[in-house]
Amino acid sequence: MRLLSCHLRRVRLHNDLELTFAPGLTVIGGPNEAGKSTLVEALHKALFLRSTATGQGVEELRSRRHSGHPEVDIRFEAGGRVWHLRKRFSGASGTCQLSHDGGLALSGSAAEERLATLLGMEQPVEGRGIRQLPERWAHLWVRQGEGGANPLAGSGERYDRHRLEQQLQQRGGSEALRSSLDAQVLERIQEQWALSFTTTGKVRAGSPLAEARRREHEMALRVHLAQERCSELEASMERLRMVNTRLERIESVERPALERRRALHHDLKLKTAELEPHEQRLQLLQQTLQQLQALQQQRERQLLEQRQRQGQREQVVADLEALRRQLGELRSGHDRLAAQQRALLERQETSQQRLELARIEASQRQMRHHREQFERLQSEAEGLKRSLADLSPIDQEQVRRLREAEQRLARHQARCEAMATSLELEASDQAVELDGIPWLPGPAQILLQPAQLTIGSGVRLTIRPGGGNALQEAQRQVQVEHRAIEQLCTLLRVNGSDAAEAIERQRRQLENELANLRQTASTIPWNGLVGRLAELEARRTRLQEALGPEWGGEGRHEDNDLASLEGRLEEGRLQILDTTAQRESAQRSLEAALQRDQALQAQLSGDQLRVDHLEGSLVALEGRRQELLREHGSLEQLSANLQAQAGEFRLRQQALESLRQELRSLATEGGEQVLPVEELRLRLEQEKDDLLSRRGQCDQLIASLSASDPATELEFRQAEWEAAREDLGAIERRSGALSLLQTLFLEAQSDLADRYGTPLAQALGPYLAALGQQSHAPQLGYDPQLGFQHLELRQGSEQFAFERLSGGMREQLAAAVRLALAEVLAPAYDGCLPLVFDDAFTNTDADRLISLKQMLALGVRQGVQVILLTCTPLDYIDLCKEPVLGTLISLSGSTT
Amino acid sequence: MVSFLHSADWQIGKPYARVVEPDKRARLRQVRLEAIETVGAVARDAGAAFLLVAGDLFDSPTPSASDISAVCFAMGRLALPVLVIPGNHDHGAPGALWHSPFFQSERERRAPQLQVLLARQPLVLEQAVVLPCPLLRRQDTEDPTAWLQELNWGTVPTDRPRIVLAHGSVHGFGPVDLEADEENPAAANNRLQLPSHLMAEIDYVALGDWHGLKRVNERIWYPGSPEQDRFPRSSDYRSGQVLRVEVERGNVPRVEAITTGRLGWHQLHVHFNGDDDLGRFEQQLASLLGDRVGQDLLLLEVEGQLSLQGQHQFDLILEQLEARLLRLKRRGHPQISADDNEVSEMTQRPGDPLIARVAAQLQQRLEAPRGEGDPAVARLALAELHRLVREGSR
Repeated sequence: MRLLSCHLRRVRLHNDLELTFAPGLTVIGGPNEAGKSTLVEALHKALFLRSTATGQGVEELRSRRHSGHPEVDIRFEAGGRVWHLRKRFSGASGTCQLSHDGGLALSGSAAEERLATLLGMEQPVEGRGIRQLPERWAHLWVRQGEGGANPLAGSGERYDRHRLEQQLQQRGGSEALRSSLDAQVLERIQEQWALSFTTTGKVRAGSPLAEARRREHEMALRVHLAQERCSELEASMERLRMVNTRLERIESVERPALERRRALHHDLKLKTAELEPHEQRLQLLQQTLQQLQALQQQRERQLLEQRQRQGQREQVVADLEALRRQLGELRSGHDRLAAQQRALLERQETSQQRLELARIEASQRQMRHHREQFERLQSEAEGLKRSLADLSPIDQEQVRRLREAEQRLARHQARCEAMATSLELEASDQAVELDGIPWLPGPAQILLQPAQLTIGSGVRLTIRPGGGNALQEAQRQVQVEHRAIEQLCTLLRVNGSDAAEAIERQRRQLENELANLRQTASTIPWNGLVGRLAELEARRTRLQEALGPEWGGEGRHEDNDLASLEGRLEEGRLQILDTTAQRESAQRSLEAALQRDQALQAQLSGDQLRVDHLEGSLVALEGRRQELLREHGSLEQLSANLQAQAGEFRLRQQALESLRQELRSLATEGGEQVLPVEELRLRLEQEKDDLLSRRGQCDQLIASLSASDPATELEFRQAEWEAAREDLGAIERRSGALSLLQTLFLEAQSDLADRYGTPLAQALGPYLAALGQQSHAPQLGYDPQLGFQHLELRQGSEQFAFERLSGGMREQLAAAVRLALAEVLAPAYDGCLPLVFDDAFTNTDADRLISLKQMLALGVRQGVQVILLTCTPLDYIDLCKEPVLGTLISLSGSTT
Repeated sequence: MVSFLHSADWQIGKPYARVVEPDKRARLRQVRLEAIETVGAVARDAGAAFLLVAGDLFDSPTPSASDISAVCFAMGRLALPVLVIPGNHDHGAPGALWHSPFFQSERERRAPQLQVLLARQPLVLEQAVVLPCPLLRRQDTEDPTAWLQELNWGTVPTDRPRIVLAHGSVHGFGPVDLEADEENPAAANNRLQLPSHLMAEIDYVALGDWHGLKRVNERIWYPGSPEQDRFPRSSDYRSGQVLRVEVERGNVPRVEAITTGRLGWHQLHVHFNGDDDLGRFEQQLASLLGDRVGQDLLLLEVEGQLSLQGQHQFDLILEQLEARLLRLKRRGHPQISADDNEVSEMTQRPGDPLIARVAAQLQQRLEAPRGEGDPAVARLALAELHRLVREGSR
């Protein structure tokens, strides 16, 4: 379908506008408000809106300036013919005429329907369906402001999806996406599936599947209930059995036992009452007998005691006498010991005084000896002092100096001798004179200074010793030393050092001896010696006086020997101790004897008292005994009576005990605690009543449960459940089969659908290349239900969804898609489709404009009729040249 | 020497709940009642002195009043004493039918010669001593024959045979394990101990519980149910008879099984290798059932494969079968797998790409050795697709 020309009358601002469209590109320029959009709308409505439509869609076309109804004429090629369409929009009276160059002329509905068919539609849009209008050819009619919209968004109607799929199939040579049978079968499957499932895949409430599940669940529950009823019935029967068993036991065992117990109790009471007087009698007899026996025993005991006491008393008297004798002895012994002790003490005192006297005398002797010793030491010291005064006062230093001077002299002499010349005249036959002194053979002469030797008369020799002046010096030194020694000797009054040393040694010895004497004297306590002596003398005199004249005799010195005195004193002390101990022991014995004496006296009086008391008591006892005997006969009689009574009592008691035994065995038979019979009977009656009422309940329950046989009921419920399970299984299998079929169908459809996206993307490719977007691979998804989707550009691994692209890029990509769509769809419309852009590239900058124009040029080359309305027509002026040869129309009305 | 009949497990009132049609259910129940009359006839013919029913005369301890009346009526028409013990199904607990005034009055009125033995004590008859071991609850932990072990045999007459009447399983033979199936669950397992020293005192043990005929040993027998009530689980299973027993003290009894059953309980196993086997199947049915109607029950076990068309045919056969049988119980289904023609009918459809693809995929799933998902579902899906395509193509 290709637009050839149009003629608008009374359409808004266009009173009469006639345009011719180029087969390829037509650029319609005009400033804002020039009516470009009006032109675009008018063409669209003429093609798709029914001429008789009313309402807003038509009102929008009306002109306010020009009177009359809007009228649009369009000439176009389609189906190999040139068509002329005229529509007059006058509300319900609107007209439509369609004719072609072959002579066909249609009007009214026929014209409208034919037109729709030519445009690939079923019907034109009615006035009330005006909202559908923009959907028509939305991929080819780009209105102002829609340049950046995704042409594949929205429903498939917007982009002629059905024909697009057909064209893509043919273009790709692929098989059809689905046949009508495919669609029909799928639809049936989906219908049936939807009976059981919601769109989200959940089981639909009220569906056969849900119903079967519910029923299966319900049946399972009913089986459970039926089972419970069966169990309850069995349990009730079991309870009834227990109640019956218990009742039977009560009737046959427990109640008779209780009755027996009651009878026994009664009997027991009776027998117990009968036994009572017997018991009392027996007790009285026993008491009397016991009393009598007790009296007798008491009497015997007291008699015995009386005898014992008397014997005891005599013994005490005898003891007392013996004790008194003993006491006398003890006293005399004690006195003797006391006297002995006193004598010993006196003697001891004398010995003590004698010892002291001896000690004083010894001290006196000692002191006198000291005095003598001291005096002797003093005279010795005088002698020593005198000897010392006789000796020269030579000390060790002086001896040392003298000895050193002598040694120096010897050394100097030795030097002189060493330097002197020794001459020895061994024989001479001539006179020999030395220094004028005749020299005879003999010992050698030592020359210390030059000497003249004359031998005979004719020979004179001068002999000079060696050493020169040194010899003379040595000789001088010798002399000096000689003088020094002489001076010292004179001073010390000795002739040499040895003598001096001897004197010095002697002096030192004497001084030492003197020092020793002094040391000895210092050890003697001579200080106050005389005073102390006098004091001792006074004490001695006093002691002697005390001891008496007998202590002056000859033997006294022996006695006064200190050691023996001390020995005697110690001996005396021991004797005293011994005697004292003896005396004390005697004292204690005495005291003990006195105490015992007192005790015996007390016992004696106590015994006497008791004997008197017993005598009185015995008289009373005898009185009572006699009284009892009088009253009850003799003891033997009493015992016999008692035995007889006891025998009878025992017999009665045995009978009673056997009754008790029986009662006990009855009471403990059931293991129950021993309770009063009446209480037990009440309990038993109570229990029986309870049991009977429970039995009634059980009977009732069993009757109600078995009214409809629970076993039969259970079997029916089980059978129903099995059937329900089987049903459910079948329905689930069928639902599964339907789900499987639906899934497989949709998968298969989706697989096939991929074959649509690819050819469309391929058609898009060259346009993107013309845009300079070779690197961007267009991607397009296809969903058999929803159509084409997910338009995006992919660069490398990155994807850019259409919506995320920039405004300019969106405009250009949308234009590319529209061109591709127009190109792909063209064969369905006689090889061509018009593509109208109304101000669709407002976001495209000048740089991109070039590539945009290249893309448009490519579209034109591919057979797309492009009608471009713009405010800036000069931007596209180059497209009006070779090779595109587009037409530029200015909307002022003039045509270029 | 005494001759008597030994029967058990009549289970009057058995509901046959799995039989869907009420008329057929009623018929099955009626046949069980009618069996009493048949037993009576056998007793007359055999000259039996008495009839022993070893438990489970009724199917439940609380049967319906109409069943009680019907049983008493039928029993009353038997011309011989009938001794019955309760079994596990109709145990003798208090509250159970045996104690109910209704049963007692019906028994007195209609079947005075019927005696229910609820006490475990010897019953001395003119011809024999019966030692009843009634079950007094469904599942008794106590051995109901235990009292025999403590019995002072000196007090039991020695001049006539001694017959133990009991219900349960004996050592080495447990009906519970052998006989229970999904429709007849094991109700209880009451074990009976019959040691050899005890057996020395006894001449015959009349048992019940096992619904098939069973000789445990020469003295111990299960008679089976007089009218079969379940599909046999083995080929040697015999049900639908009573035992005629001749016994005297100290001798081995002579036992004879006499058929009383009327209904045919059959089991048929069919394997379809394809639609061609359907003819063979029909022949098998004909030979098994003849032209009888309303007298047979069939357990049909099916496996193998049929085509979609074959399945349709098979369904028609079953429909007819169900009409003439008292019950058709099915176990298993033929696998409906489209035959080659049917498969290519769906897969060779260039004009319907989706159908062709889906059919091919389903077929592929079924052919894969370990295909994904449930093959039954895939098969059903294929059949459904076939049906829809047929419908759409018309």
